[in-house]
Order: sequence, then C-alpha cells, then structure tokens
Amino acid sequence: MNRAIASNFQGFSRKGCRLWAVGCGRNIPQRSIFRNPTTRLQPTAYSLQPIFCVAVILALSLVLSAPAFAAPTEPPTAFEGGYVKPETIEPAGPGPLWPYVDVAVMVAFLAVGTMFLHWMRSRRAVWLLSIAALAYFGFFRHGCVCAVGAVQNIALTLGQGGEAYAVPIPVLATFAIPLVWALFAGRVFCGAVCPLGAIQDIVHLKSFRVPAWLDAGLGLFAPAVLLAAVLLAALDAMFIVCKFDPFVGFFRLSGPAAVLLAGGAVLALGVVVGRPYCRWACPYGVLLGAAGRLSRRPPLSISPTPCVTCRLCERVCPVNAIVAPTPAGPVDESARRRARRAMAVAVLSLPVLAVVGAVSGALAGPAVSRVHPAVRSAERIAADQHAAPDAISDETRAARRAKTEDQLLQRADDVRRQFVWGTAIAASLLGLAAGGKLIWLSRRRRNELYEADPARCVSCARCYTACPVQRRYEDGMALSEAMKAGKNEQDKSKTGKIDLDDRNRQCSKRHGERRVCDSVQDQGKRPCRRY
Amino acid sequence: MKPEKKLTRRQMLRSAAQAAGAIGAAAVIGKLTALHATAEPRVWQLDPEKCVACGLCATECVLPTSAVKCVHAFDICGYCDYCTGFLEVYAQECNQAAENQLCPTNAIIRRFVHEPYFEYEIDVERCVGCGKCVEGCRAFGNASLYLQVFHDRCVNCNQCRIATVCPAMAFERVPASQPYKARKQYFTPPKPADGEAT
Repeated sequence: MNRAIASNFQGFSRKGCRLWAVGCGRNIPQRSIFRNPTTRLQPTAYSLQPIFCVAVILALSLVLSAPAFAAPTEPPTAFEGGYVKPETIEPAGPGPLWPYVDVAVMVAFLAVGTMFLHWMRSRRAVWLLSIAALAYFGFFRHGCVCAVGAVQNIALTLGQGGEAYAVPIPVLATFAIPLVWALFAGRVFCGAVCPLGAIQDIVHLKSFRVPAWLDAGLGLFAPAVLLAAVLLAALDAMFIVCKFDPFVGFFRLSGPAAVLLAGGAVLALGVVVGRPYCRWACPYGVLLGAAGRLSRRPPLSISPTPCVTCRLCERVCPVNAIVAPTPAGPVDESARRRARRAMAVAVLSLPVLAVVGAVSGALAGPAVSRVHPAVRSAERIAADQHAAPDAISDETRAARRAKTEDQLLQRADDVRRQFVWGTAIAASLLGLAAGGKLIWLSRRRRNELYEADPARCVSCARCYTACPVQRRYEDGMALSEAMKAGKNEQDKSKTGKIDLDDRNRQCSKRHGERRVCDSVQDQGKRPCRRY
Repeated sequence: MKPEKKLTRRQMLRSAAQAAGAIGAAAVIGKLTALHATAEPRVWQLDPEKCVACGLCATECVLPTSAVKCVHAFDICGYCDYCTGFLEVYAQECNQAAENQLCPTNAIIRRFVHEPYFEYEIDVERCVGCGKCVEGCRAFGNASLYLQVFHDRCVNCNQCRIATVCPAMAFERVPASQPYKARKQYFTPPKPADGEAT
C-alpha cells in the first residue's frame, strides 16, 4: 500500500502533477496553473478534490512516516542560461582557539587575583577583578564552558569510556587548574574569577547571619548536587548543573522564564545572604573546599599582622567562613563529656546513613532514570504500541523512522539497571558526606584567633575591609611597621598583658559609637564597652 | 633551641588524606589523559537523518531566536515546481502568497530558474528553525531542506537545551573541525523492510 501511494506520487515534484491529478480523478492542466501565479483555481468541487487527496496523503505520510514514501526526484545537473547552483550555507563558528584563550585568561585572572589577595591585600582590587571576570567569562563568553560545569564533562568521559565523548583539553584544564590553585592559595577562583560568584558578590549589601545549623544543613545540598551531576553526566542523561544554572541566562540576556526567575530569586536572596548559590548549591565549591581543606596553608590571613580578636571580620564575612577562637583555659568536664557523646553518635551514624542512602537510592533508581532521554523515549514508545496512528508521539515517530524501537527499549532497560546502581552509590556517598559532616562538626576545635575556614572562605576579601589592623596599614603605615606593631600585640597577648584600652581605641576609631567588641573577652574578665 | 617536631594524630590524618587525594587526582587525570586522544573542542550539531522536525528547536534554544535554522542543500534539491517544503497542503496557487506558504515566517524565497525549475533559498535572518519545510520536503521530495545548528549564532552551551528535549535524540557533540552534518548526497530512500506490502 505504501509503495503504491509512493509510486503514485513519483511525479509530484518536478515532472508536474499529471499522475497526481489522474490519481485524484481529474486530468486538469495543473502545470499551467501552477506556473502562472495570476491564474486562480476556482474554489469549486473539482479543485477541492485533489486538495483533499493531498491533505489525506500528507497527513498519512506524516503519521506513518515510512521512508518508502519519499519520492525523490533526480536533481537537475545542468541549467540553461548560465544559472549556477548556490553554495549550501554553513557559517563558521567562533573557531576552536577560543577555549584555549579562555584557559589562558582564567590562569591570568587567578594569578592577578592571588596577587591582589595575598600581596596587595586589597578588597577593591579583588572586587574590580571579579567584575572584569563577570564581563569576560559571563557577558562576553556567555559563561560556557565554566569550571563549575566542567566536572560533568569529566564524568561523562569517564562514564562513557571516552568513545562517545572525550573531554577536550581546555575543559580538563578549566576543571583542574582552579583546584590545584586552591591547594596553594585558597579559593581565589571563587572570589576573583568565577562569574557566578561575582554576580552574587555585586548584589550583596548586608550579611544576614544564617544560623549555623541551617547553614550546615543547607550545605549538604551542594554535595547532593555534585553527586547528582556526576551520576547523570556519567550515565549520559543530562548536565543538570548547566540546565539549572541560575545566572547563565543573565549572561546571555535570554533564557527560559523559569530559570531567569529562579536566578532573580537567588540574586534577591543574595542581597542579604552572602552568595547563596556558592554556599549551598555549587558543586565545584564542594571540590574547591575539599582542596582548600587539604592544603597546608590557611586560605588567607585576615589581618596582615597577628589578629587582635576584635571580631569585626566575623560580621562582614558573607559566607560564614570565619571561625571564632575557642575559649582559652581548661575545658569544662561536662562539656567534654557532651562533646564525646556527640562524636560517638556521629561516628555511629556514619554507616547507618550510608546504608540508608544506598537502599533509598536503589529504590529511587528507576524513577530517577526517567531523566535519561532513552528511558523517556522507551516509555513513550511502549505507551504508543497500540495508539492510533495519528496520536503517536514524536519519540515513537523518530524511532519508527530510524527503525530503532527495539534497540531503544533494550537500551532503556540497561540504563534503568545502571541507574539503580548509580543512584544507590551516589545516595550512599551522600549519606557518608552527611555523616562526615556530623563528625567534622563535633570534633574538638582549637584555634586562638579568628581564622578563615579554608573549606568555606571564597576569597572575597571583605574581611580585609573590616580588620582594624589592615585598616591601619591602609591608612598609611608601612607594612613593616604594621607588622612590628602587630608583633608587639601578639607578644602582649601571649604574655596575657594585652592593652585593652588600646584595642578598644582601635575599634572605636573605626566605628564610633557602635558597639563592636561586645564579645571580646579580656581573659574572660570584661567585655569591650560602648565608647 | 628548635623545638622537636611531634607528629600529632590530626597531622597524620591530614597527611594521609592529602596523599589519598593526590593519588586519586593523579589517577583521574592519568585516565583522562589516556582517553583524550581525540580531544579537540566539541560543538553541538544535530543529525538530520534522525531529526523528525518536531518543532522544539524553534522554542527550546536559549537564544531569543533559535540557533537552529534550515539549510538548503542545493546539490540534492530537485528544483521542483510544486515544492511540498514550500507550499501548504491546501495551497490553491503555487506562489509566494502568505496563505499558500508552509513557512510561517516567509523565509523561503522561490525564484524561477527556467522551465521547469524553481530555486528555493532560505532567508537565514527570517528562519526560526521550526522545521515545517523540512517535514514537507522529506515527505515527498529529496529532503534537501534540513535543520542544522548555525555555529555563528550558537553560544555552544555546555549542555544544549534542545538536546535535553529532542525526541529523536538527534543532538550530539561533534568535533569543532567538522561542525556540520550536511546532506551531501542525493537522497536515496531506504529499502522497504521485509514483509512490507509492495
């Protein structure tokens, strides 16, 4: 039947419509009508009949979509009158060198950012650099490929064996260089290079302090995003970090409304809560934090010279990364017992969380596997098995046309099985991450000064602006003098003879009547007062 | 006198973690280096043989006007008078009048070459990548009209948004040196499957 219709339509195109007209019961001079645009077909029965035929057959062809329908016409090779066939348009892209340029620019930004952060110690310089990064990586290069999403390219390469997709070297470099950098100089990438961080940094006005428990709880979302991104990329489902990137739509100045709205909401939250995306959702931040934690150096020293423990930096830190000094003196025995119990609970909960994660992940696997296009298509194909020909989905149409229905159904089964394992492993790793976090939080901390947590500090350098020691240095005192002064202060604090009035004067000098040092204890005796 | 260095448990754990991290990173990078033999930058392209012209290219691209547009392979075009990629099913005349055109944006320009040939050119600025003409040309013609990602427009998202919804799974990452999947040859219909009525 198909072929009969097809042969009926052999003459449909170039050779005129005679056969077509015959097939429809009329032998009308179609060609002359079609050639002369001014001649109108009368809107009567005889003209409607062939149109109806065409409609039916076109609809049938679209529905059945059998390749046998195609009735090719031999392309003409020679034309009269010197007509030359135009070239097929294939506009060139921006060229394969751009990714290398991006990597070079990124390294330059990292180097300059490190200089601004550790040697110049200038918040303004770091801020300006991050604006430049936002302009270049964000608005000029439209934010792709970025280090945040590159983890997925690597997972895809490792997951698919490198045959379907091999990670390009620039992408590998984009992923690896900031990580290696973080081992030596902290998360300079977050503060000075990342356009996603920069856009949140610009809008941030006032730090509302998120309670520690909420911060820690929400902080688990980022490793969950990382694990999900790696899992879905490794199984070739999709790149969720890219698909749900909240800010890339702003960089391109276009995008789906839902994502743009979500980005706007994150930015609105970012006005009062520092860098919500970086802290609670960024998958690369998890890796950078791990690298920072592994490094032997602190990410940055908040004051250029030893800290005077005035606590001013803690309040301006947008990401809650500044760790307060632990109380000096012997630890209370009951507090120690409580801490030990908490640690025991945390250690015991680790395997429980891992097992719970594995089981729930395995159970959720088949449902999660529906994000994979092969599974989605297979479901549509299965649903369309007995559907009317005009009601089948595009997926079924594509598979029938390519004759890949069975192949797709088989592949979907494989993918589902992979997902059961994959989600089980990912969820159990998430359980381990949660348990590890509990252990980390209940460990015994010992630090004497205000320090930046290497895992959380994003190198934005806001603490520099708050530090009175830094301010003294900026006010014109030479660094060597400032360091000497700081050294004296440190010596005093070691001997327990720190000059409280001197310290308060520093605070009041900068903050006037504001009560800024209320918790600074002078050996536990008296707090700083309002001046 | 220099104080003697004492290795605490914490320092030992940290050093062990550092070593494990370094070894793990080296293993991943080594594996990737072994695999990256063909690692040139990739760009997105769609395979016209898989494409079913569902129309999502026109609506899903992150750009205001999709980077996917129709390409016309003149080499395999039949230069038909009655072009089913150009004309509506109910077209009463074979001309550029809006009511006769399949293309919703008037992006196909029809020119008379000589009897009986007509040239069809795509106006790229007007084309939105809806694929209506693609399906028409494929159903009855040579399938010389097909969709492609135009790389002068595509911003090359790490994850193409259209690729995540494409029902034919036609989008793939191709080497940047061969960014187009052109139909270079005269379209030959596949042989009918066994058991199909003749």
